[in-house]
Amino acid sequence: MSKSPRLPTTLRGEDLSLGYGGFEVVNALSVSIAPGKVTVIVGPNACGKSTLLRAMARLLKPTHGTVLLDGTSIHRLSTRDVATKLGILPQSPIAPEGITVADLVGRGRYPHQGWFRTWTEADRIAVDGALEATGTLDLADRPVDELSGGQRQRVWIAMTLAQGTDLMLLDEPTTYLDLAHQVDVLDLLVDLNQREGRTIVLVLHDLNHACRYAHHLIAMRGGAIVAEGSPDAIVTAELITDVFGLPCQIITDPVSQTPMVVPIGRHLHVATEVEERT
Amino acid sequence: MRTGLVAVVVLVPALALLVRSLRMMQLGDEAAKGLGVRVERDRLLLVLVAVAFAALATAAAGPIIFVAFVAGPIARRLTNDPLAIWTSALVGALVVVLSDILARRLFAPTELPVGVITGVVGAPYLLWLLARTNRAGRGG
Repeated sequence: MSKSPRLPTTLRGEDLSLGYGGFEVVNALSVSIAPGKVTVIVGPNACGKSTLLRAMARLLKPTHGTVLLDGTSIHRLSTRDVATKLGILPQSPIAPEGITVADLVGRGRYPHQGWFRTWTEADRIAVDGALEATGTLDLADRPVDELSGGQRQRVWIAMTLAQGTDLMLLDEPTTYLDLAHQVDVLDLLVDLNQREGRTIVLVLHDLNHACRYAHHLIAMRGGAIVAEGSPDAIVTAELITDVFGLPCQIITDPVSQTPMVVPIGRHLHVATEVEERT
Repeated sequence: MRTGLVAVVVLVPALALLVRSLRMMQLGDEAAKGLGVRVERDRLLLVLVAVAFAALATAAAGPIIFVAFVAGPIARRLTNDPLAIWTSALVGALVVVLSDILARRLFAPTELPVGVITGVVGAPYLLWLLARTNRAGRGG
Protein backbone atom coordinates (compact mmCIF):
# COMPACT_ATOMS: atom_id res chain seq x y z
CA MET A 1 0.00 0.00 0.00
CA SER A 2 3.01 2.29 -0.04
CA LYS A 3 2.30 5.45 -1.94
CA SER A 4 4.93 6.83 -4.22
CA PRO A 5 5.48 10.53 -3.59
CA ARG A 6 3.32 12.48 -5.98
CA LEU A 7 1.14 15.51 -5.84
CA PRO A 8 -1.75 14.83 -3.49
CA THR A 9 -5.28 15.18 -4.84
CA THR A 10 -6.83 18.56 -4.15
CA LEU A 11 -10.46 19.25 -3.33
CA ARG A 12 -12.16 22.62 -3.24
CA GLY A 13 -15.69 23.89 -3.03
CA GLU A 14 -16.42 27.23 -4.64
CA ASP A 15 -19.42 29.37 -3.83
CA LEU A 16 -21.51 26.31 -2.97
CA SER A 17 -25.22 26.50 -2.36
CA LEU A 18 -26.70 23.20 -1.28
CA GLY A 19 -30.16 22.05 -0.41
CA TYR A 20 -32.84 19.45 -0.71
CA GLY A 21 -35.96 20.06 -2.78
CA GLY A 22 -35.95 23.85 -2.65
CA PHE A 23 -34.90 24.04 0.99
CA GLU A 24 -31.46 25.62 1.18
CA VAL A 25 -29.09 24.23 3.82
CA VAL A 26 -25.80 25.81 2.73
CA ASN A 27 -25.52 29.20 1.05
CA ALA A 28 -22.53 30.50 -0.94
CA LEU A 29 -19.88 28.57 0.95
CA SER A 30 -16.29 28.18 -0.23
CA VAL A 31 -13.90 25.72 1.32
CA SER A 32 -10.53 24.24 0.51
CA ILE A 33 -9.39 20.87 1.86
CA ALA A 34 -5.75 20.87 2.95
CA PRO A 35 -3.97 18.08 1.02
CA GLY A 36 -2.22 15.46 3.13
CA LYS A 37 -3.87 16.65 6.33
CA VAL A 38 -6.69 15.57 8.61
CA THR A 39 -9.60 18.00 8.39
CA VAL A 40 -12.49 17.75 10.83
CA ILE A 41 -15.84 19.47 10.33
CA VAL A 42 -17.84 20.21 13.49
CA GLY A 43 -21.07 22.02 14.18
CA PRO A 44 -24.48 21.57 15.76
CA ASN A 45 -27.09 19.22 14.31
CA ALA A 46 -28.55 20.39 11.00
CA CYS A 47 -25.76 22.94 10.42
CA GLY A 48 -25.08 21.47 6.98
CA LYS A 49 -21.84 19.62 7.72
CA SER A 50 -22.98 16.27 6.34
CA THR A 51 -24.60 18.06 3.42
CA LEU A 52 -21.29 19.76 2.65
CA LEU A 53 -19.43 16.45 2.87
CA ARG A 54 -21.94 14.80 0.54
CA ALA A 55 -21.61 17.60 -1.99
CA MET A 56 -17.81 17.40 -1.87
CA ALA A 57 -18.11 13.69 -2.68
CA ARG A 58 -20.49 14.28 -5.59
CA LEU A 59 -23.37 12.58 -3.81
CA LEU A 60 -25.34 15.82 -3.91
CA LYS A 61 -25.47 18.24 -6.82
CA PRO A 62 -25.06 21.86 -5.73
CA THR A 63 -27.84 24.26 -6.67
CA HIS A 64 -25.11 26.81 -7.23
CA GLY A 65 -21.31 26.78 -7.32
CA THR A 66 -19.01 23.88 -8.00
CA VAL A 67 -16.69 21.34 -6.42
CA LEU A 68 -13.24 21.08 -7.96
CA LEU A 69 -11.33 17.81 -7.76
CA ASP A 70 -7.75 18.37 -8.90
CA GLY A 71 -8.96 21.59 -10.47
CA THR A 72 -11.72 20.01 -12.58
CA SER A 73 -15.41 20.36 -11.82
CA ILE A 74 -16.47 17.13 -10.14
CA HIS A 75 -19.72 17.07 -12.11
CA ARG A 76 -17.85 17.01 -15.38
CA LEU A 77 -15.85 13.95 -14.37
CA SER A 78 -17.27 10.45 -14.76
CA THR A 79 -18.54 8.79 -11.61
CA ARG A 80 -15.77 6.26 -11.96
CA ASP A 81 -13.00 8.86 -12.30
CA VAL A 82 -14.21 10.50 -9.12
CA ALA A 83 -14.26 7.12 -7.38
CA THR A 84 -10.61 6.47 -8.16
CA LYS A 85 -9.55 9.74 -6.51
CA LEU A 86 -12.02 10.22 -3.72
CA GLY A 87 -13.58 7.68 -1.38
CA ILE A 88 -16.54 8.37 0.86
CA LEU A 89 -17.91 6.40 3.76
CA PRO A 90 -21.52 7.52 4.22
CA GLN A 91 -23.19 7.66 7.60
CA SER A 92 -25.04 4.36 7.44
CA PRO A 93 -23.93 2.03 4.68
CA ILE A 94 -25.74 -1.32 4.43
CA ALA A 95 -24.03 -4.68 4.77
CA PRO A 96 -25.96 -7.21 2.65
CA GLU A 97 -27.16 -10.17 4.69
CA GLY A 98 -24.55 -12.90 4.95
CA ILE A 99 -21.72 -10.99 3.25
CA THR A 100 -18.23 -11.84 4.47
CA VAL A 101 -15.64 -9.27 5.47
CA ALA A 102 -13.36 -10.12 2.54
CA ASP A 103 -16.26 -9.82 0.06
CA LEU A 104 -17.32 -6.45 1.46
CA VAL A 105 -13.81 -5.02 1.45
CA GLY A 106 -13.31 -6.41 -2.06
CA ARG A 107 -16.25 -4.32 -3.26
CA GLY A 108 -14.10 -1.26 -2.64
CA ARG A 109 -12.20 -2.29 -5.78
CA TYR A 110 -15.21 -1.66 -8.03
CA PRO A 111 -13.90 1.54 -9.68
CA HIS A 112 -10.70 -0.27 -10.69
CA GLN A 113 -12.41 -3.16 -12.44
CA GLY A 114 -13.71 -3.42 -15.98
CA TRP A 115 -17.09 -4.57 -17.28
CA PHE A 116 -16.14 -8.21 -16.98
CA ARG A 117 -15.07 -8.05 -13.38
CA THR A 118 -11.59 -9.41 -13.44
CA TRP A 119 -9.91 -9.81 -10.09
CA THR A 120 -6.29 -8.76 -10.53
CA GLU A 121 -3.21 -9.07 -8.41
CA ALA A 122 -3.47 -5.34 -7.70
CA ASP A 123 -6.96 -5.90 -6.25
CA ARG A 124 -5.74 -8.68 -4.03
CA ILE A 125 -2.83 -6.58 -2.75
CA ALA A 126 -5.11 -3.60 -2.09
CA VAL A 127 -7.66 -5.71 -0.17
CA ASP A 128 -5.02 -7.53 1.87
CA GLY A 129 -3.35 -4.20 2.63
CA ALA A 130 -6.66 -2.67 3.72
CA LEU A 131 -7.47 -5.62 5.99
CA GLU A 132 -3.98 -5.50 7.44
CA ALA A 133 -4.03 -1.72 8.03
CA THR A 134 -7.38 -1.88 9.82
CA GLY A 135 -6.51 -4.96 11.87
CA THR A 136 -9.31 -7.01 10.33
CA LEU A 137 -7.21 -9.61 8.51
CA ASP A 138 -8.22 -12.36 10.92
CA LEU A 139 -11.91 -11.49 10.41
CA ALA A 140 -11.69 -11.89 6.61
CA ASP A 141 -13.91 -14.97 6.39
CA ARG A 142 -16.44 -13.94 9.03
CA PRO A 143 -19.92 -12.69 8.10
CA VAL A 144 -20.20 -8.94 8.74
CA ASP A 145 -23.54 -9.47 10.59
CA GLU A 146 -21.70 -11.27 13.36
CA LEU A 147 -19.18 -8.52 14.13
CA SER A 148 -19.32 -5.95 16.91
CA GLY A 149 -19.99 -2.29 16.09
CA GLY A 150 -16.33 -1.37 16.39
CA GLN A 151 -15.19 -4.23 14.18
CA ARG A 152 -17.86 -3.42 11.63
CA GLN A 153 -16.74 0.20 11.42
CA ARG A 154 -13.17 -0.98 10.85
CA VAL A 155 -14.39 -3.19 8.02
CA TRP A 156 -16.21 -0.27 6.36
CA ILE A 157 -13.07 1.82 6.65
CA ALA A 158 -11.14 -1.08 5.13
CA MET A 159 -13.53 -1.05 2.17
CA THR A 160 -12.99 2.67 1.63
CA LEU A 161 -9.25 2.08 2.01
CA ALA A 162 -9.25 -0.70 -0.59
CA GLN A 163 -10.67 1.84 -3.01
CA GLY A 164 -7.14 3.22 -2.95
CA THR A 165 -7.96 6.93 -3.11
CA ASP A 166 -5.74 9.78 -1.90
CA LEU A 167 -8.76 11.43 -0.38
CA MET A 168 -11.05 9.80 2.16
CA LEU A 169 -14.24 11.46 3.38
CA LEU A 170 -15.99 9.95 6.39
CA ASP A 171 -19.35 11.03 7.78
CA GLU A 172 -19.44 10.54 11.56
CA PRO A 173 -17.37 7.34 11.59
CA THR A 174 -17.43 7.16 15.39
CA THR A 175 -21.18 7.40 15.98
CA TYR A 176 -22.66 4.48 17.97
CA LEU A 177 -19.21 3.35 19.14
CA ASP A 178 -18.10 3.29 22.76
CA LEU A 179 -15.27 5.61 23.78
CA ALA A 180 -12.49 3.03 23.40
CA HIS A 181 -13.63 2.16 19.88
CA GLN A 182 -14.04 5.84 18.98
CA VAL A 183 -10.41 6.50 19.88
CA ASP A 184 -9.44 3.30 18.09
CA VAL A 185 -11.11 4.38 14.83
CA LEU A 186 -9.65 7.89 15.02
CA ASP A 187 -6.15 6.55 15.73
CA LEU A 188 -6.53 4.28 12.72
CA LEU A 189 -7.42 7.24 10.50
CA VAL A 190 -4.43 9.23 11.75
CA ASP A 191 -2.23 6.19 11.04
CA LEU A 192 -3.49 6.19 7.46
CA ASN A 193 -2.78 9.88 7.19
CA GLN A 194 0.73 9.62 8.63
CA ARG A 195 1.85 6.40 7.00
CA GLU A 196 0.35 6.86 3.57
CA GLY A 197 -0.13 10.59 3.36
CA ARG A 198 -3.85 10.27 2.69
CA THR A 199 -5.98 13.36 2.95
CA ILE A 200 -8.76 12.70 5.44
CA VAL A 201 -11.94 14.69 6.00
CA LEU A 202 -14.19 13.77 8.90
CA VAL A 203 -17.47 14.95 10.28
CA LEU A 204 -17.33 14.51 14.06
CA HIS A 205 -19.61 15.35 16.96
CA ASP A 206 -17.12 15.14 19.80
CA LEU A 207 -15.31 18.48 20.00
CA ASN A 208 -12.49 17.16 22.13
CA HIS A 209 -11.77 14.42 19.65
CA ALA A 210 -11.97 16.97 16.87
CA CYS A 211 -9.41 19.22 18.62
CA ARG A 212 -7.14 16.30 19.28
CA TYR A 213 -7.15 14.70 15.84
CA ALA A 214 -7.63 17.59 13.41
CA HIS A 215 -4.80 19.42 11.72
CA HIS A 216 -7.44 21.71 10.35
CA LEU A 217 -10.77 22.32 12.06
CA ILE A 218 -13.83 23.72 10.31
CA ALA A 219 -16.64 25.00 12.55
CA MET A 220 -20.01 25.41 10.87
CA ARG A 221 -23.29 26.94 11.95
CA GLY A 222 -26.45 27.57 9.95
CA GLY A 223 -24.89 26.44 6.69
CA ALA A 224 -21.85 28.71 6.89
CA ILE A 225 -18.28 28.34 8.07
CA VAL A 226 -17.87 30.35 11.27
CA ALA A 227 -14.17 29.68 11.80
CA GLU A 228 -11.45 27.45 10.43
CA GLY A 229 -7.83 26.82 11.23
CA SER A 230 -5.76 24.72 13.59
CA PRO A 231 -7.71 23.84 16.76
CA ASP A 232 -5.11 25.69 18.86
CA ALA A 233 -5.67 28.86 16.92
CA ILE A 234 -9.43 28.96 16.68
CA VAL A 235 -11.03 27.11 19.59
CA THR A 236 -12.07 29.61 22.22
CA ALA A 237 -14.97 29.69 24.67
CA GLU A 238 -16.53 32.46 22.56
CA LEU A 239 -16.38 30.39 19.40
CA ILE A 240 -17.98 27.33 21.01
CA THR A 241 -20.67 29.46 22.63
CA ASP A 242 -21.27 31.14 19.31
CA VAL A 243 -21.40 27.93 17.26
CA PHE A 244 -23.20 25.58 19.64
CA GLY A 245 -24.97 28.07 21.91
CA LEU A 246 -23.23 26.31 24.77
CA PRO A 247 -21.46 28.24 27.54
CA CYS A 248 -18.17 26.50 28.27
CA GLN A 249 -14.60 26.82 29.41
CA ILE A 250 -11.59 25.85 27.38
CA ILE A 251 -8.75 24.10 29.18
CA THR A 252 -5.70 22.33 27.83
CA ASP A 253 -6.08 18.61 27.26
CA PRO A 254 -3.54 17.17 29.73
CA VAL A 255 -2.63 14.37 27.32
CA SER A 256 -2.49 15.98 23.91
CA GLN A 257 -2.00 19.64 24.90
CA THR A 258 -4.84 20.56 22.53
CA PRO A 259 -7.87 22.65 23.51
CA MET A 260 -10.47 20.80 25.55
CA VAL A 261 -14.05 21.97 25.85
CA VAL A 262 -15.65 21.76 29.28
CA PRO A 263 -19.36 22.54 28.98
CA ILE A 264 -21.14 24.58 31.62
CA GLY A 265 -24.55 23.05 32.18
CA ARG A 266 -27.30 24.23 34.52
CA HIS A 267 -26.67 21.77 37.33
CA LEU A 268 -23.31 22.81 38.72
CA HIS A 269 -24.53 22.43 42.29
CA VAL A 270 -24.22 18.66 41.93
CA ALA A 271 -20.43 18.92 41.91
CA THR A 272 -20.39 21.65 44.58
CA GLU A 273 -22.43 19.56 46.99
CA VAL A 274 -20.08 16.64 46.62
CA GLU A 275 -17.12 18.91 47.30
CA GLU A 276 -18.71 20.26 50.47
CA ARG A 277 -19.20 16.78 51.84
CA THR A 278 -15.57 15.76 51.38
CA MET B 1 -39.71 -20.97 -28.03
CA ARG B 2 -39.06 -17.61 -29.66
CA THR B 3 -39.58 -15.80 -26.36
CA GLY B 4 -36.99 -18.02 -24.69
CA LEU B 5 -34.52 -17.15 -27.41
CA VAL B 6 -35.11 -13.42 -26.92
CA ALA B 7 -34.48 -13.84 -23.23
CA VAL B 8 -31.19 -15.61 -23.75
CA VAL B 9 -29.87 -13.40 -26.53
CA VAL B 10 -30.91 -9.97 -25.24
CA LEU B 11 -31.77 -10.06 -21.58
CA VAL B 12 -29.17 -12.40 -20.16
CA PRO B 13 -26.20 -10.37 -21.47
CA ALA B 14 -27.91 -7.15 -20.33
CA LEU B 15 -28.32 -8.57 -16.87
CA ALA B 16 -24.74 -9.84 -16.87
CA LEU B 17 -23.55 -6.28 -17.45
CA LEU B 18 -25.78 -4.87 -14.71
CA VAL B 19 -25.10 -7.43 -11.99
CA ARG B 20 -21.93 -5.64 -10.93
CA SER B 21 -23.82 -2.42 -10.27
CA LEU B 22 -26.55 -4.28 -8.42
CA ARG B 23 -23.91 -5.84 -6.18
CA MET B 24 -22.69 -2.35 -5.27
CA MET B 25 -26.22 -1.02 -4.77
CA GLN B 26 -26.67 -3.60 -2.04
CA LEU B 27 -24.40 -1.38 0.06
CA GLY B 28 -26.88 1.50 -0.18
CA ASP B 29 -27.20 4.20 -2.84
CA GLU B 30 -24.65 6.56 -1.32
CA ALA B 31 -21.94 3.94 -0.86
CA ALA B 32 -22.57 2.68 -4.39
CA LYS B 33 -22.28 6.19 -5.84
CA GLY B 34 -19.12 6.77 -3.84
CA LEU B 35 -17.68 3.64 -5.44
CA GLY B 36 -18.42 4.92 -8.93
CA VAL B 37 -21.80 3.38 -9.78
CA ARG B 38 -24.28 5.42 -11.82
CA VAL B 39 -27.05 4.44 -9.47
CA GLU B 40 -30.08 6.13 -11.08
CA ARG B 41 -29.28 5.00 -14.60
CA ASP B 42 -28.40 1.43 -13.63
CA ARG B 43 -31.43 1.05 -11.37
CA LEU B 44 -33.71 2.09 -14.22
CA LEU B 45 -32.04 -0.40 -16.56
CA LEU B 46 -32.31 -3.15 -13.95
CA VAL B 47 -36.01 -2.50 -13.50
CA LEU B 48 -36.51 -2.64 -17.28
CA VAL B 49 -34.61 -5.93 -17.53
CA ALA B 50 -36.53 -7.39 -14.58
CA VAL B 51 -39.90 -6.39 -16.04
CA ALA B 52 -38.93 -7.84 -19.43
CA PHE B 53 -37.87 -11.12 -17.82
CA ALA B 54 -41.11 -11.34 -15.83
CA ALA B 55 -43.16 -10.49 -18.91
CA LEU B 56 -41.45 -13.13 -21.03
CA ALA B 57 -41.78 -15.79 -18.35
CA THR B 58 -45.46 -15.00 -17.86
CA ALA B 59 -46.08 -14.93 -21.60
CA ALA B 60 -44.49 -18.36 -21.93
CA ALA B 61 -45.89 -20.15 -18.89
CA GLY B 62 -48.72 -18.06 -17.49
CA PRO B 63 -48.66 -16.60 -13.98
CA ILE B 64 -47.03 -18.95 -11.48
CA ILE B 65 -46.96 -17.60 -7.96
CA PHE B 66 -44.17 -17.59 -5.36
CA VAL B 67 -41.35 -18.75 -7.65
CA ALA B 68 -39.18 -15.63 -7.60
CA PHE B 69 -39.94 -15.30 -3.95
CA VAL B 70 -38.61 -18.74 -3.00
CA ALA B 71 -35.77 -18.98 -5.53
CA GLY B 72 -33.68 -16.01 -4.35
CA PRO B 73 -33.33 -16.92 -0.68
CA ILE B 74 -32.69 -20.61 -1.45
CA ALA B 75 -29.97 -19.67 -3.93
CA ARG B 76 -28.34 -17.29 -1.47
CA ARG B 77 -28.27 -20.02 1.12
CA LEU B 78 -26.82 -22.55 -1.32
CA THR B 79 -24.01 -20.30 -2.52
CA ASN B 80 -23.25 -18.06 0.46
CA ASP B 81 -23.34 -15.21 -2.03
CA PRO B 82 -25.55 -12.27 -0.99
CA LEU B 83 -26.68 -11.76 -4.58
CA ALA B 84 -26.52 -15.16 -6.39
CA ILE B 85 -28.41 -14.04 -9.52
CA TRP B 86 -27.62 -16.99 -11.77
CA THR B 87 -28.14 -19.60 -9.07
CA SER B 88 -31.50 -17.95 -8.34
CA ALA B 89 -32.47 -18.37 -11.99
CA LEU B 90 -31.53 -22.05 -11.94
CA VAL B 91 -33.26 -22.69 -8.60
CA GLY B 92 -36.38 -20.95 -9.95
CA ALA B 93 -36.38 -23.14 -13.04
CA LEU B 94 -35.89 -26.24 -10.93
CA VAL B 95 -38.75 -25.28 -8.60
CA VAL B 96 -41.09 -24.81 -11.55
CA VAL B 97 -40.12 -28.09 -13.23
CA LEU B 98 -40.46 -30.10 -9.99
CA SER B 99 -43.78 -28.43 -9.20
CA ASP B 100 -44.99 -29.17 -12.69
CA ILE B 101 -44.16 -32.86 -12.33
CA LEU B 102 -45.96 -32.97 -8.97
CA ALA B 103 -48.95 -31.08 -10.36
CA ARG B 104 -49.32 -33.60 -13.18
CA ARG B 105 -48.73 -36.76 -11.16
CA LEU B 106 -50.17 -36.08 -7.72
CA PHE B 107 -53.85 -36.59 -8.60
CA ALA B 108 -53.41 -38.14 -12.03
CA PRO B 109 -55.32 -38.30 -14.29
CA THR B 110 -56.48 -34.89 -12.91
CA GLU B 111 -53.82 -32.26 -13.57
CA LEU B 112 -53.50 -29.39 -11.10
CA PRO B 113 -52.24 -25.96 -12.14
CA VAL B 114 -48.51 -25.56 -11.34
CA GLY B 115 -49.31 -22.47 -9.28
CA VAL B 116 -51.17 -24.58 -6.74
CA ILE B 117 -48.00 -26.53 -5.94
CA THR B 118 -45.67 -23.50 -5.85
CA GLY B 119 -48.24 -21.75 -3.66
CA VAL B 120 -48.45 -24.68 -1.24
CA VAL B 121 -44.65 -24.63 -0.92
CA GLY B 122 -44.26 -20.84 -1.04
CA ALA B 123 -46.89 -19.74 1.47
CA PRO B 124 -45.46 -21.58 4.49
CA TYR B 125 -42.02 -20.41 3.45
CA LEU B 126 -43.28 -16.81 3.46
CA LEU B 127 -44.65 -17.28 6.98
CA TRP B 128 -41.41 -18.82 8.17
CA LEU B 129 -39.39 -15.99 6.60
CA LEU B 130 -41.57 -13.36 8.26
CA ALA B 131 -41.23 -15.04 11.64
CA ARG B 132 -37.48 -15.29 11.23
CA THR B 133 -36.87 -11.69 10.14
CA ASN B 134 -39.05 -10.51 13.02
CA ARG B 135 -36.91 -12.43 15.46
CA ALA B 136 -33.71 -11.11 13.94
CA GLY B 137 -35.12 -7.58 14.21
CA ARG B 138 -34.70 -6.99 10.51
CA GLY B 139 -38.36 -7.01 9.57
CA GLY B 140 -39.84 -4.37 7.35
